[in-house]
Amino acid sequence: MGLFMDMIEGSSERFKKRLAAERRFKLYGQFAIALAIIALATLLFSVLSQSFGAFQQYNVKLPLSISSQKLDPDGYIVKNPVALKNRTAVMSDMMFEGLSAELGYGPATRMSTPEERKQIRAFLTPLVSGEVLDKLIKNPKLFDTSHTYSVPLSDDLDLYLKGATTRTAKVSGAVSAMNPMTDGTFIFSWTSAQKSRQAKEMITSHLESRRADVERQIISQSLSLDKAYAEKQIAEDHLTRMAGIGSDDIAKQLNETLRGNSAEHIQLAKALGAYDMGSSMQQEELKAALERYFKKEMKERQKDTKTLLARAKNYHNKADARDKREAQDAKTKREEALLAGYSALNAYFRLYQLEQLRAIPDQRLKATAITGEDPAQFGKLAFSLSAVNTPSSSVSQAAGELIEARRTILMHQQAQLELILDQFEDFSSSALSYDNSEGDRHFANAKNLGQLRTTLAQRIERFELSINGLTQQLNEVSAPDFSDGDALQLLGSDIGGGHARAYELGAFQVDPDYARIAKASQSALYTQRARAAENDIKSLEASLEGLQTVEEEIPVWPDTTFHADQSYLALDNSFPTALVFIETNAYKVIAVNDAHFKATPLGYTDPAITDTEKAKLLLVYKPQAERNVSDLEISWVTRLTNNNIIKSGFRTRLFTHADSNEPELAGALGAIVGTFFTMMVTMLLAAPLGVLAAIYLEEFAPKNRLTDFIEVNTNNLAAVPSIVFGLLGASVFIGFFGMPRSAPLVGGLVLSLMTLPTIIIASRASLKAVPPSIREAALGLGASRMQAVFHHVLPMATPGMLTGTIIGMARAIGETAPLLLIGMVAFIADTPKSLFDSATVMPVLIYQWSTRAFRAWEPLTAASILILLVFLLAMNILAVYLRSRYERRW
Amino acid sequence: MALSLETLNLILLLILLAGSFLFFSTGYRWARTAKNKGEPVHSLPSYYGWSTAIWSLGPAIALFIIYNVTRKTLLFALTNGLMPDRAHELDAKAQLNFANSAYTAFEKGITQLPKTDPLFAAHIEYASTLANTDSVIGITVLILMLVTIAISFFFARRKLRPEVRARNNVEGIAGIGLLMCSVLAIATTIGIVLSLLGQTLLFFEEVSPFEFLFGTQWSAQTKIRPDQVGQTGAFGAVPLFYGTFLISLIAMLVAAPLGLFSAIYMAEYASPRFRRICKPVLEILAGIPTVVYGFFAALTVAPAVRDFGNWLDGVLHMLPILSAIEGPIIATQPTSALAAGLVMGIMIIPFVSSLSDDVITAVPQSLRDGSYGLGATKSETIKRVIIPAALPGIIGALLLAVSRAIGETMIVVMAAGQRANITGNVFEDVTTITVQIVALLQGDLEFDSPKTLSAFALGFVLFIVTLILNIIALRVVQKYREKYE
Repeated sequence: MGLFMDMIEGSSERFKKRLAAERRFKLYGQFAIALAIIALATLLFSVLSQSFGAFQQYNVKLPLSISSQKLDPDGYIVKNPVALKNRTAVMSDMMFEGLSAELGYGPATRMSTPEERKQIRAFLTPLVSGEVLDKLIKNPKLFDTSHTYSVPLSDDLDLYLKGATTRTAKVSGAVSAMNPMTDGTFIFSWTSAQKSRQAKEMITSHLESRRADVERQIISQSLSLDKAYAEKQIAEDHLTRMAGIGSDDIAKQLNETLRGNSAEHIQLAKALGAYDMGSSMQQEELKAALERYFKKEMKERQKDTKTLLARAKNYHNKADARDKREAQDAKTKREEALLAGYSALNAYFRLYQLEQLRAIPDQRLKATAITGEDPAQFGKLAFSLSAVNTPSSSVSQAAGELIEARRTILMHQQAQLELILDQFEDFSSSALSYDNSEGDRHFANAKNLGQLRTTLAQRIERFELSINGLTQQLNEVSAPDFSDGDALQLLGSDIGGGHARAYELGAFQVDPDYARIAKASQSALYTQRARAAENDIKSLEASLEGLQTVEEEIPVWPDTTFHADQSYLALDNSFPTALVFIETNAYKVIAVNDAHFKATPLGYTDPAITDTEKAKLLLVYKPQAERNVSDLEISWVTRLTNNNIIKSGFRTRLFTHADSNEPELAGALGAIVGTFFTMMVTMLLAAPLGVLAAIYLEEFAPKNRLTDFIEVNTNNLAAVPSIVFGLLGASVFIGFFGMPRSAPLVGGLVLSLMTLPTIIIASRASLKAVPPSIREAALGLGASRMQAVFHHVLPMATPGMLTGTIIGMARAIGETAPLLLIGMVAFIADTPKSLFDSATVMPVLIYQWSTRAFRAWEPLTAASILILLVFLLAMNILAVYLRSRYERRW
Repeated sequence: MALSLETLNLILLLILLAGSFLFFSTGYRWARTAKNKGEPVHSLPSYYGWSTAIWSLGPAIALFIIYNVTRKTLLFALTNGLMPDRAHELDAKAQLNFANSAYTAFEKGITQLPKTDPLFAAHIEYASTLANTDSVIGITVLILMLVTIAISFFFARRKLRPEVRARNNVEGIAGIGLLMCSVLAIATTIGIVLSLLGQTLLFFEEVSPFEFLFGTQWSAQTKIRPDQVGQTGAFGAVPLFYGTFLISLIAMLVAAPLGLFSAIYMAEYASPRFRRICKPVLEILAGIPTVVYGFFAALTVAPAVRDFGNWLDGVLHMLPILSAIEGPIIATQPTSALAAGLVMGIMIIPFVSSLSDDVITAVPQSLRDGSYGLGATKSETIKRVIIPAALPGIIGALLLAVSRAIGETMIVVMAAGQRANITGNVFEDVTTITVQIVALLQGDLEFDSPKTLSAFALGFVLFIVTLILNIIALRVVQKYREKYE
């Protein structure tokens, strides 16, 4: 009995264990499914939550009376309405004036300052005026009558109003009379103590969260500090390791890295290296190498410049002649002339650069400047020189000279570019005025020119930046306490690049002991890195210290008692902003104490408003220095929102406009239409071909090697990565057949090849599901096999095939990678009108938008994802419906 | 008379369409009358209709296609001697250019340009020559087509005899058509192989295959201008292979256990109702476009992963053994292998689970029953009987999933980074084969630079690797299915 109990006990123990294992196992499964579902939910939630902002948009409803006298003095609206399109500058001035008037500026009150004008202009992007012009062209009755034009507010302000830029808080109540002080400030106080307390609490809590923010920054800075320490460590480790490398290794390394550089450059760099190592003999060599280089390069550039300039001149002459005769294609000629001129200019820039370089008297410096066009290279070379006992003063001196030369070149280039930009400005707008009936070519040209102009403008901007940077560097270099180490720091710390290696190799040839030097130069590099890290450490430590001071300086309002006479607490630009609104006037609080605000007027304030019935205090949490919406802009936006000039609405343009460079103007219509065209091609090709292939393979194919191969091949093709189809499209359709890039036709072809196997497999499965008895019955009644299949089997398999096709299409509609490779990723601001137009599709649009830098693109991306998902959902529901409605089971 | 291509094609198509109706009904009526007369007609009347239409129009259709394909070549060949004198002065390349622009002018129907510029005038002159010749060719083709139709109809008419097996003829032709459709899949594969192989071989003329496959330096951005300094092309693809491997590994570490466990649960434990609801939910994951996953990875997961890495770094620093280390133990980057791998894993879960689900369900019930009969619990049956029985199929499914992960593009393009990097730290960014292909081919295509060609070489490697994986996987799954069928 006891034994039996033991046995039961033992077995129940084991049984419990087994049961526990059972439960555990089941739990794993539930856990896995739950995790997958959570992942799905997170994904959908993150898309959904980010897309909210994109469906709402703030518009400026600007009442304007557009004077035809001003906008259209030549009466184009009757003659050639399209010509009005080049009046965007005038239009945007008019809108600017309208907006200024709304903000209280004008001859009667006060003219805006340049700074204010800049900020008013930031309310609307220049592209908006084009839309208003379009509206006018369509409806000329709007001229000289007052009409409210609704245009989208610029994205930064839109984001602010949606609360995406910063948190804000408000208190409203009555304030005491304003007391203007001698220094132009005003002093307010709330009339009720309760309001005072409320405002104070608000400011205090803002200061507190600011403090928390700074603390977070301190933590992240100290993390970066840790990283900098690690960098330093790594560099030092390298230095230690360098000691063990032999000279053979280095020579080999050098030779390997040299491949892929132009011969002249290698020669030059080698000569330079040799020169640095050797005697006067090498100087001759260096000179010769330099001459060779200059001769070749300058000759080529001269030739380029000459031919291009001649072409430009020729075209200009022709254009002049045509202008005289008022010939039709004068503008075309002018366009061509400008394009040729532009290319000539590019060649000329290079030539000029070369001339500048050639003029440098010192052979060494000259060679260095060429081989190391990039200052980083130069720095490295200079450093390796100093590492082998060259007089060290030359490094910073040389750095100065090089920077100066670069700056001169850049300034010259910039001037030239600005000149040509002016011409472009005139030209590209007039090119737009072509009547459409003259053919699309003009428009294409105009568009090209527009793009060129944008590129030019960007270039000029970049030049501006570089020149400023270089000027600053020059100032630094000429400072008396500027050391060689600083020079290297300044010139950067990049490794890589073959010319430095060539240089070393040249040196190596002259002096077999160069391994020592090569090593020295590499060590120098790492020393430099270590130094850079050390500098990082220094600056990080400094910034940490700064942050700590900021933290200490964040004021604390001690207690809740009120002392009207207490000294003021200054709120500067690094603290949260407090704005006071009284009717249309806005003031910025610059100091507070328990009972009073000291404030300065913001923008234009009406001196007549002294009525203090109702005031509103707006606290903007993020300090002005950290946001791209200024206090002035916030005050205006608030005012315009109160006046109902700025109003929010549903962003319909998401469905009515194509892509744009400005987020507030962009829509997805172009991509939706592109998707439609592409899918049309895919469906018309893939569905019939896939179904027919499936019928053959399933019903007719004899069992032989060929059909086996087809079957294996089809299955494999279904699992081939989609990007491979993109490569196929790029090399066959575009490279071989010369089809247009970015066209929905090519996209559709590629996608249909991709979906074909999926459709074949699905169709075969649904054919297989039709029981053999159907076929046998048909055959038994004397039908041929073809008849049995087409009359009896196919109708029964249709629902399944349809479902398979729809699922295949759903996959194709979301496909991005292959389309990137056939050029559907270009920026296209027009809605495509045919299968051959440049187009993009929804997923590619999503990809493009997700890579754009401004924050306003984020919600738009999420919204376009939502649109795509809705498409897909609809397709899948259709597939499921068809399956459940028509599918028959045997 | 100027006859544009569109009008001509429209006329020709209308002729073909009208012809098909006409000839079909001719054949059909003949057969019906013959049958009514009591003649022993072999096939149904509609087959005679079809066969008449096919035989009458087939040659004409071929002509139509040939004309459309060779039109431009034919035009140039015929008008070569008629080029204006001005054009003869040009060299061969310029002449071709001249001909092409004249062709464009002709296509767009540009007939008026100021005649002052001799070259322009020559353009227009040649364009009008082209237009005239084209009209002549067009009318010739039109006539030729009508003649062809008449002749072939004459022969087709002779086939309208009771003893002709019209059905067999028609079905034979239809069969060939069907075969053609299914051969398209092979043609695609051949196209892929040829195009990839061709470009890859060109690439290997410039870069040795050995360097490509075993080199560890990748910087494919070769110089664009000859005088550009500071950039060299290095085509050692090992960092890309490594990055692809690392991300796929992470993805599989996520997808394999989650997919397998959910498949087992779905197949063995879940109630039909649970299955009915949850399976489609999981399949939603498979239906979401990869670009959406990419967005999710780049904007939601990557920052979270980075924060996690930084936090982990902090925790590690607090450990007594590691506290002596200065600097980060885990270096983090805004884009990371881990973020891309995790999201890719989520994407692959339904792939693994539905394939394994099929495999597990295919294990015969008798095996389960036997195991239960011996007193095993459900989990024991699964562990000891079902999984071993289904193992080949599961491995096949996993291999297919790996191949999917290797070829996945958008997630890695958006979340993995561009830096060729060999690292064990999953918080750092790595780059993959697909990322580089996209990066290299996104601009304008020049098929002669090693930069562009290297993308095709990478594509070739990708294709071969996934192909091998697919073949093995499909083989294994196939074999496994046959075993239990």
